[in-house]
Amino acid sequence: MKIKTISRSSDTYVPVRNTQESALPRNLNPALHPFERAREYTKALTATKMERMFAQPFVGQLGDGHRDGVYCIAKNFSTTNQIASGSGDGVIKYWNMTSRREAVSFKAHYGMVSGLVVTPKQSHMLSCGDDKTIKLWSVDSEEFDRSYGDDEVYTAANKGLIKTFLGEHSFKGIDHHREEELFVTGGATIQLWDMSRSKYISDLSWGADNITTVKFNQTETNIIASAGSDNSIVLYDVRTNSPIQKVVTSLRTNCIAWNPMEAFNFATGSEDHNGYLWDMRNLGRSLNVYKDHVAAVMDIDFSPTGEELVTGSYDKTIRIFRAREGHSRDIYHTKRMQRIFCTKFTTDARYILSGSDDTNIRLWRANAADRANVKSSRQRAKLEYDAALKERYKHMPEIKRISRHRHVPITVKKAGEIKRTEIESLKKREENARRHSKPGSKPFASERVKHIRGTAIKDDKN
Amino acid sequence: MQPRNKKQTNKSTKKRSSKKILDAFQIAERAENGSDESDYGNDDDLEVVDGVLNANRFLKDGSRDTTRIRKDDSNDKFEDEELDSDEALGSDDDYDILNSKFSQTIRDKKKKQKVNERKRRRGEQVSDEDSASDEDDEEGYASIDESQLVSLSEAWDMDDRDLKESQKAAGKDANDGKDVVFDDAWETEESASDSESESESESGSEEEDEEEDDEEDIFKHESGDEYDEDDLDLSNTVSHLKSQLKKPEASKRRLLAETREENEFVLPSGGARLSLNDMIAAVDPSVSKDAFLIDSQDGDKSKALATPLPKRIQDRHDRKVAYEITKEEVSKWEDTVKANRQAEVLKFPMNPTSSHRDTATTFRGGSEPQTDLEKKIHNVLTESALVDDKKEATFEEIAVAKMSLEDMKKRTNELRLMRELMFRDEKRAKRIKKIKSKQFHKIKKKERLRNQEAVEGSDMESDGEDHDLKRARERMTLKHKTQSQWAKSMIKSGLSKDASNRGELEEMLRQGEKLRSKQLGYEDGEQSDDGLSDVENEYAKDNEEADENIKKLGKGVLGMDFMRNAEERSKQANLQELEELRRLENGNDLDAFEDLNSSVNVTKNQGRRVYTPGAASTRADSNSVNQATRDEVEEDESTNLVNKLSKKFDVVDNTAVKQSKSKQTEKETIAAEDVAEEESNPWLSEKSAEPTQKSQKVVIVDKSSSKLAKAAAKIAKSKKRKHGSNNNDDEDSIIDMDGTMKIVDHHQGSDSEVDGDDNTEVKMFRQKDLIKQAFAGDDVVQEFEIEKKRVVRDEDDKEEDMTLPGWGDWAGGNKKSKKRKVVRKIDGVVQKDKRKDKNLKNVIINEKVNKKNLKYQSSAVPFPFESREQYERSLRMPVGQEWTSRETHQRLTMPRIITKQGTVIDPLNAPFKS
Repeated sequence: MKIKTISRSSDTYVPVRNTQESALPRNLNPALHPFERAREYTKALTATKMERMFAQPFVGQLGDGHRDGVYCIAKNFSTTNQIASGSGDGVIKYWNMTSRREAVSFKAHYGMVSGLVVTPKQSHMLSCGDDKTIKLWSVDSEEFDRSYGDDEVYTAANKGLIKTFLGEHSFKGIDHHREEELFVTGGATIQLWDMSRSKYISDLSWGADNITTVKFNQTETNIIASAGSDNSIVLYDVRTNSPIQKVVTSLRTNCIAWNPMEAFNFATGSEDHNGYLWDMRNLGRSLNVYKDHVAAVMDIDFSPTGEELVTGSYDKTIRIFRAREGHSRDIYHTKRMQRIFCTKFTTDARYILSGSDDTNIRLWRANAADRANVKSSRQRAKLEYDAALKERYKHMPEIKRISRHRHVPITVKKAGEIKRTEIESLKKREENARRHSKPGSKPFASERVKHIRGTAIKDDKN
Repeated sequence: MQPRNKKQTNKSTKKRSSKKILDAFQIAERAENGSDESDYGNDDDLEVVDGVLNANRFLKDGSRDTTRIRKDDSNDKFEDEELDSDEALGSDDDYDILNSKFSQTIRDKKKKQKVNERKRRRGEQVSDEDSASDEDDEEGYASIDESQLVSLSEAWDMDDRDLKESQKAAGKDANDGKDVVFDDAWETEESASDSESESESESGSEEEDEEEDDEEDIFKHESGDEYDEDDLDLSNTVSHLKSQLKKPEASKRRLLAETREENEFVLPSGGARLSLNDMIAAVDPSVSKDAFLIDSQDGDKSKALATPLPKRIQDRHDRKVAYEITKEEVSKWEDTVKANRQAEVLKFPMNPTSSHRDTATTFRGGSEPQTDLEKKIHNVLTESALVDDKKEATFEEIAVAKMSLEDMKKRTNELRLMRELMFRDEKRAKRIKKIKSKQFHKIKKKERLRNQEAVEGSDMESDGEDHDLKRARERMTLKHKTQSQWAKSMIKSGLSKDASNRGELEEMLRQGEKLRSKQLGYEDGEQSDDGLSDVENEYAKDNEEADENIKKLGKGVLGMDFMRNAEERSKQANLQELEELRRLENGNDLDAFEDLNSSVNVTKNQGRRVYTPGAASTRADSNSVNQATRDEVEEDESTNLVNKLSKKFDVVDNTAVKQSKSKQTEKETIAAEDVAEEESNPWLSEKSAEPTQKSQKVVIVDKSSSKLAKAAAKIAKSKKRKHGSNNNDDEDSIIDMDGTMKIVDHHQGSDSEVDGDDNTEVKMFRQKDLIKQAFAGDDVVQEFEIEKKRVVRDEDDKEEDMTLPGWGDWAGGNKKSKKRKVVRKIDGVVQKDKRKDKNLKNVIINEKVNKKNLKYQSSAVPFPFESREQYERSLRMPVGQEWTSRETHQRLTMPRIITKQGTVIDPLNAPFKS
């Protein structure tokens, strides 16, 4: 008699090689996998909750920080793990982020260090200050054979100093050309310098006011943008050696960042609590407004991918914006962090650095729930699947609520409330005025245009 | 004064709220840090110590200070207003202290004045020794005596007086001022300075507005200039400017005052002009008198250059041009940026590494000479320019090098696939070749033949164009020649003696012959442009081919007698139709349509509008067209009076003729009668009782429709154009079936017209009865109403009497009924009078909301989506591995931005710059 038994060959499920993943037999019969949407929704919800649970944005701080507030941070664009920082007491430091220790430090200036940049070719530090000097520093500690302790910095002779440029006024802001040996400084006038000369090669000033920040475009490398104390943003071209366009806003612009992926777009942080995205070809209106801060935006920086922005604000918080959305996707803060004066993305777009009044340089994750460890392919697939689900179901009320929920400092919250009520009342007032005046006599002002007072060269379109 | 005042306050409140927005954080912070002002003050101090310069604020202060100075200079009116607004508002909102120390003394003086005035108004004594402390101030506010208050106008007067007095006394009150400074140093009081700062901002609002105006004016001015310049020519501008510039130069006189000392580079000229003679005298005094400038001799030619544009304007032009250039330059990035934005996946670092990969196809022999001899030869060759490295590159290499990675992959895949297919085919051919069974080969061949026939048969039916194509293809494939591989092999293997093969070969030869003759012979004359004759020609050709096919077939189903007969019949029918069409085209007889009427309406499809794209239902179409034309003509005729009169009879005649005509028409009428009978069936809706009215055929003539249909449509159209003036609605050749129904009706009623009407009435009555019978006992309407009432009641708010019977009552006989009732209200779903279906008679709208479902419902369509359907569609397909294939899953879950850990993401390199 023949007896039928269930037999299963081990060939079907035992992997041939040990590197091969064992096959997971699965039945594709849709009847066995019902309620697909409900299940995926639940998965998305769980993923969202997990993300919030694992959200730990703060990584650590660099060394012991400075002895005074950190007012400028400069990236070394050719490495991922080296940055420079300058503080209010004139000390500049070069950091190794892997070990989170300082490599070298110099007492560079009397008074504040008002600008700092790492030169792209040799990776030297170039600093400028209120003492009317620009100094070039070597960061290779072998060249000068020792590093100081924090106390000795103030007294020891600076052996790393390579070159000093003397200026006519105190400087505010400095930036280096990406390809050529040129750099530009702000201050009473905006000046273009050649590395090999001791005097500036041209003065690009347009108008008489102070320039507080200057930035070279990273892609279309000959274009400079500057912001000054006359509430203006001015564009310059190095090739034609002249300013080219100027826009005046209602309040002062504190910071500028060029989009590294989109040559003609740049973002600015303004005293009116907002960030703005501009197209340099049409400054008659800004492309986007980044709202959420409740105090002046002190620094703004693009992610190297060009998809995100980080802003540091006077309200002691860091916010991260998606470049094409108007509100922040995340807010970072700690209890001890004071006013933030500089924020930067690292060159691999994974971390964020912030320098603040409380003398520390802090390191944050760009994605709070992200972890840097090596992941198995399966884990990676799972994370990707989760991300896709979250993206898909992000409009569902519960998921939206959970993913948007953040603890914010009570002051920020309250300030936000005050702001909201006041803005509402202003809006209402305006609406009333509009209602009681001749139709069309009080047109609606777009939020993207409202803050602009005018441009020097009128666009053809407008 | 009054409205202006109002306006001002209005503006100031606006200003205040906008200021509050800006300072929201500080306010919140202050509130959070506790109410002690000292804390805040410290905070402010810290700000300064830290070197945090909120420059904006300082700027404002600065501007305020300047305005203040200006105000001091200006007359008293301004002052008045300022005070006025200050006092009128009297608000003590919290604002940050203005710690500006730029112009303290001025401010202090003013403050002093103000304090004095305020105090005077309060009826307090002004004493210099009174240092105004915080509490004092507060108390002062608290203890205002209304009787002591002075009216506003009086206060102004007093103010004026005070001001004058104080101005007079300003000189001698030196220690007074000192005191005030001291005062201010002590003054941590918020209220005073706050209100002051506020007043400043309020009164300053106008000024600031003016400033704003100024700012805008600057641009206006500039833009205005530019506008002018745009209009005028550059030369015009230059001349204009010159004329403007020269005048002042002429009138201007310079005072030369050399104060410099003499040194290596500079000589004091002492005001005297240095002439050429002077200079030459220094070298050679003998010729000094003869020296002259050559240029000055021929004066007219050597004119001074035109005055250049003023630098300001020149710069502006430069900037404008530079901006244009830069814009242009930067716009080159647009495509790259757009591509990146629209990319589904962006992988960073992005700048492609252009390393050339050697593949098997780009194999290169040792290009480097290795041995000495080789080197020598190579040297010689290169010297004599016989070797060119560029030439060595093979074509493939170039092609590959030019392609992108994706393209290359694609191409490689294609090649691989082709190779694979070829290989398989070869294998298969070999295997089949090996089979020795004759049976198998026979079957195989038969199958092939059948396939071929099927293909040809289908071709026969299809259009002429296809046929042409096919013929061309045939010609190309050399089916008519014996040079083909197959034919050769047949001949070679001697299989040509086999009967069937032989037949095949012969057929091939015949075909070739035919084609050749066609090529030589009557090919040219056959072309004609006329539509109808073209159709005919095509048909003739088709016939020919069909005949040949039939001949060729010999055996098989198609070769059988009945099939042939059928073919013949259909051919005849078609020819007949053609004939008729032609007749139509030439003449105008309606008889054709009358004749054709025979087949109308029998096969009508009920209740469906049919769009026929030709081929399949040509006949039906042509019929319908005919029908339509006939109807039109009928209608036309009916307008004629005579026709009208005789119409009835005509119709009767018509039907009579029809009856006599053929069996088919009889059948039709019977069918029509059937339909009429069916009309009385109450279970069918009224409309279905008139079947012909519903079935509307729309003939759509397009490319795909056959020639016959096209021709028919054309004819119909031309016909229509002839009659077309009074009936426009037949454009889409919809058949109006009333005509036929009428005929049917008349036919019915032709026996007894009087009875006919009665009959229908009786029928109607019967229908009603039937309906009643069918729905007997179903009182649907009332039932519905009852249900609705019940629902309304159930979903309404309810009141429940919670009073416990007997509780708190007196017992006994004549007790009073209790007054106080405890009533609990239970919220229902929706109140009675707020229902959505309150005014809707036949509807019950369910207004229950399932709260558990709310969690899964979004209140509105989220932003990027435009409609609910769109959003739901985006959620429909699951992403997970359980529901999709692995590839799809991976594709769907791929993140948009992929960065590589630990690598620098460089700014984009310009792809157009390399």
